[in-house]
This record gives sequence, structure tokens and C-alpha cells, in this order.
Amino acid sequence: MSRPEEASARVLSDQTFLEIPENVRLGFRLAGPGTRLGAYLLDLGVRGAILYFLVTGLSIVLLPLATTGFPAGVYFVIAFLLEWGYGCFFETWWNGQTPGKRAFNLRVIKTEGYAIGFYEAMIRNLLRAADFVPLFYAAGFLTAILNPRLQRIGDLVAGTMVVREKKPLFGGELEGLSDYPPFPPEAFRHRYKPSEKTLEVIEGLLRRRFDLPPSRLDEIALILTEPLAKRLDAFSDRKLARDQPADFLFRVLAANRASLETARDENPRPAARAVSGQRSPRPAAGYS
Amino acid sequence: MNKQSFLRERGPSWRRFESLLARAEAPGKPRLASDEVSEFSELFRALCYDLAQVRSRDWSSSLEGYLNDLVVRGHGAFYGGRPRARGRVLSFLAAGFPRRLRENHGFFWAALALFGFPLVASWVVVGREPSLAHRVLPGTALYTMEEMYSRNFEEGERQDAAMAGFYVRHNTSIAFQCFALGFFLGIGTVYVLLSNGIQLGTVAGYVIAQGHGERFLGFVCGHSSFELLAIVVSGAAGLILGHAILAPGSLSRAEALKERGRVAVELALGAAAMLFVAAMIEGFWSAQPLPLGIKSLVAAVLWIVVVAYLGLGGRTRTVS
Repeated sequence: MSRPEEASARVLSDQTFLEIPENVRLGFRLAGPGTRLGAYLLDLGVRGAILYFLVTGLSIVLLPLATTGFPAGVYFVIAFLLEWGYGCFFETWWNGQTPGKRAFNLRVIKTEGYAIGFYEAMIRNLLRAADFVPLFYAAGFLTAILNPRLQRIGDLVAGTMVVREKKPLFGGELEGLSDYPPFPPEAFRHRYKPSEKTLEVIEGLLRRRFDLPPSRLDEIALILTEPLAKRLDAFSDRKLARDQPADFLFRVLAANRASLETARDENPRPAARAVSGQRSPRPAAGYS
Repeated sequence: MNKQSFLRERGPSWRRFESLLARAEAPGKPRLASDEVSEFSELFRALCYDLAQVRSRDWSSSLEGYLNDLVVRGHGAFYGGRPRARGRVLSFLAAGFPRRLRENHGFFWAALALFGFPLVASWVVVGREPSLAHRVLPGTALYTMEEMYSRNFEEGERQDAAMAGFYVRHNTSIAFQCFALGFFLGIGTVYVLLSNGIQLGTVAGYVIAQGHGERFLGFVCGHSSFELLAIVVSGAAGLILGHAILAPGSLSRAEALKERGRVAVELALGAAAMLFVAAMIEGFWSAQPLPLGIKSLVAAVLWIVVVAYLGLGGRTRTVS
């Protein structure tokens, strides 16, 4: 679609871009071989479990027919359907996801950004036979890493790609933020204001604070607090920055929240937006 | 406008969009009312504008990610029609599949030649000189074959259903591989067709030369029509894939693969359906202890049925 931009984005990126008629460029985070392997192995387990339970269940139901070979025939057909139809069935039914892909937040979509249908799911799963050549998906792996959209052979023929779907981080107040007294605005030298990016990194870290071991949290937080504490020279709170870096970061965030509150009260509402005066999207290099 | 007031102002319409989107994405028939569709469209365009704005102001990549994902989903729901396969299975098998095959008859004849010629040639050659069979197949395999066809078909307790199920799995897997390996410039498909042709011909020539011809032919003739032609059809599907890469014509190779891949997979699915029929015949009929005359009569009828199905299925009077 947008050739020159695609070319410039080819600097080892895990994203692929698509320009839509509304004149914005969409970014898709591609799923790497590692995540996809994880999803594949999980699906293999689910497949095995389904086969096991179906066969156990059916062999009880069909016990009177055991001598006719009917249960064995049913087993072969179920095994066949699971081998070739498992992925196709779930990807059609669950809009591009299998249980494994769902667990890893992956989804198969068309390269045009649409949902896939039955035929796409069928093609990409039948062509696993070609991806598997010569051993354990070697051909598929090679094709994927040589392809800017990380498509294996089945994806190439079906016109699909596997993308990562992030659970929205945005939304919801950071818990416990109001417990911390904000640094007063004059605490920062020259009325320094941390950038949105920095604040976001801080918020991201604090949201994960219960997932990290405390010592590790402090270690990472120190990287952030050191340069920030220098800006707080007048307030001379380096001790807090050194000893309780997480608390320090909370107070920085709280300070920002407080300054936004006052700014809102001072500024009048902005003028209505003009729909036609749309900015052109920024070049790919600026994305994160 | 700063980020916070932007969030406060625009947040509600994003959430409204999300709830409409969830309903638009849900499977089922009546999804959005007409006024909701126009509301969806309006919210979607505003959302796209918000995304562009967040990007140009470099506000928070998590917000950008959230909006980007919403636009992605909205784009899919708005533009990407979801074709329904339901209810089309019968019409595909009755008409769509044979039509597709006739549209691509060149690939069918090529696959037939690649499969049929080595089959006939090795049958004739091994029939005249049975010791050559050892060059093709290991002695143990030949011994098993000979053993199998030197016994009479068993009476009473047979494992018909088990065999039918086994053939479904085994034969269809080969057909799907034959199709998929066509991606490698058609070489994989050609290999599968040639080697299966040679092996089948060798077994036939060898077993008949050992004097088990009547039992062998009595067993295989019934399902031969569906099974052999299905292998040829899956070969044709594989050759279509290979051809798309070798000779994409005016399209790019990627585009040609996508366009022809759809056609090829339809043929592969048709072949799978044929193999299912073949497996049922092979499991439940072929091993019946009946005279060769009856079996060959049924086999002849089945051949006529298959050829008529592939050659005439889906023809209509209307000229389009």
C-alpha cells in the first residue's frame, strides 16, 4: 500500500504497517517465532487432551461394539480431524485464534487487516505440511524470518499474518497513587516537567510493582530516580530517591497529576476539532 | 488540550465504540441496527482522527496502542465482510468442486500423466520381471503384500470400520501432503505422484505375477476409481501452487500464490471428500468375499459415477 514508508520501516522491526482509507496508518505487532512456538506447543497439548478424553469417553459408550472395529475406526477419524482440522476449526470459529493463540494473545488476521474466514484458515493449516519440511517446521521458520511480516509458508499462501494483541494497559487509575503526597511544583529545578514518555515508563513500572521481587523493583526504579533526583536538588530529597525509589516515583507521578489538575482549571476548553484538517501520520521511525 | 482533558473528553465515545464493536464482531445474524451503523461509522472516523492526534503529539504509547488496536478491530468489522461457509458444503461438493476441477483441467491431465504413466509402466515391467520389484520396495513389504493377498477374504468378524477409519486418516494425509508440497515449485507434488505411481504399479505387477491376481484385483477395483482420481486431483492442486510461483503471470508471486492458493485448496478439499468415499468403499465393501464378476461390475459402475461427477457435475443450461 504505502511502499516508501514500508521500505523505511524495514529497520529490523517487529511491526508492520497498513494505511487505511481513513488516512491513518495502523501498526500491527507481529508475533515472533518464540511466542508462536509456545502457542503451538500449548495447542499440541490441548489436541492431545481432546483426543484422550474423546477416545476414553467413546470407548466406554461404544464398548458393546468393541469386536467390530467400530471404536477403532472412530478413533482414526477423530485423530485425522484433529491433526488436519483443529487449527482450521478454531481459527474460523474464534476469529483467528486457537486455544494456544488465545492464551498467548495471538491472532491470525489477513494482511489487509481483516478477520480471516474459513478458506484462509484451511489454507494456512493444510500448508503446515510444507512448513514442516524437512523436520519440525524448519522451512516455515526460515520463510518466516526472511519475511518482513514473519509469515510462514501457509501464511504466504493464505495471505495472513499472526499478530500480538496487547491487553489494553490504558484505563484505570494506578492504585494507591492518591496515598502519596505530590512533590510541590517548585520542588523541581527550573520548573522541570518529566516528559510524557518518562511518566509512562514510571507508571508502567509501578503497575508491575507486585509482579517484581522488591529488590529488583528498587534496582530498576533507581535507574529512573537518579536523574530525576538531580532535578529535585532544591528540595534535596536524594535520601528518599536512594532508599525508597518506588515511593519517590509515586510522588513524581502524583506531582504530575496535581499539575494537570491545576492546568485544567486555568485553561479554557479547546476549540472544536476540524475533521478535515488532519495531520499526516508521523514517519515510522517515531513509532514505539 | 492536554492529555488528561483529551482522555476525559474522548474516553466516553471510545467506550461507546467498543460496545458497538463487540456487538458487530459477535457471531450471529442481526448485529447492528441501521442507525447504529451510521453511529459506528461516525465514531470510527473520529477515532481515527484521535489516533492521528495522539501520534502527532507523542502522548503515551500505551494510549496510542489502545487506540491503534481499536481502529484495527473497527477496520476489520467495517470493511472485512465475513464470508459464511455454512450451508455451502453441499453445493460445493455437488457443483463447485467439479467446476473448479474442469476450469483447471490442464493441471488435472498433467497430474494424471505424472501418476498414471509410472503406474502402468512399473506394472508392466514388474509383471514381466517380478524380481525387479525388490529394486522398488523392500523385501519385507513385498512379503507382507504377497501374504495378504494369498489368503481368502475372511468370513464373519472383520474389522471393517477400523480399516475404513484407518484409510480416511492415511490416504487423506497423503493427499494433503501431495497438495502442500506443491509449494516447493511443484517438485514435492511431482515426487509424491511419481513415487506413489511407481509403488502401486510395482505392487500390482508383483502380486499378480505371484498368482494372486484375482484376489488382488477383487480387492482394489471397488475403491480404485475414487482413490486414484482423488490422488490425481490433489496432485493437480499441488501443481497449481507450484505453477503460481513458477509462472505468476502479470501478478506478483505473492499475489499469484494467494489467488491460485484459494483455487488449489478447493481442489484439495474435494479430493479429501473423494478419499472419504473411497475409504468407506475400501473398508466396508472391498474385502467382502464375493465373486470377481460382481466386484468388477460394481467397480465399473463406480468408475462411471466418478467420471460423470467430475466431468458433468455442476453443469447448468444457463450460459454465463
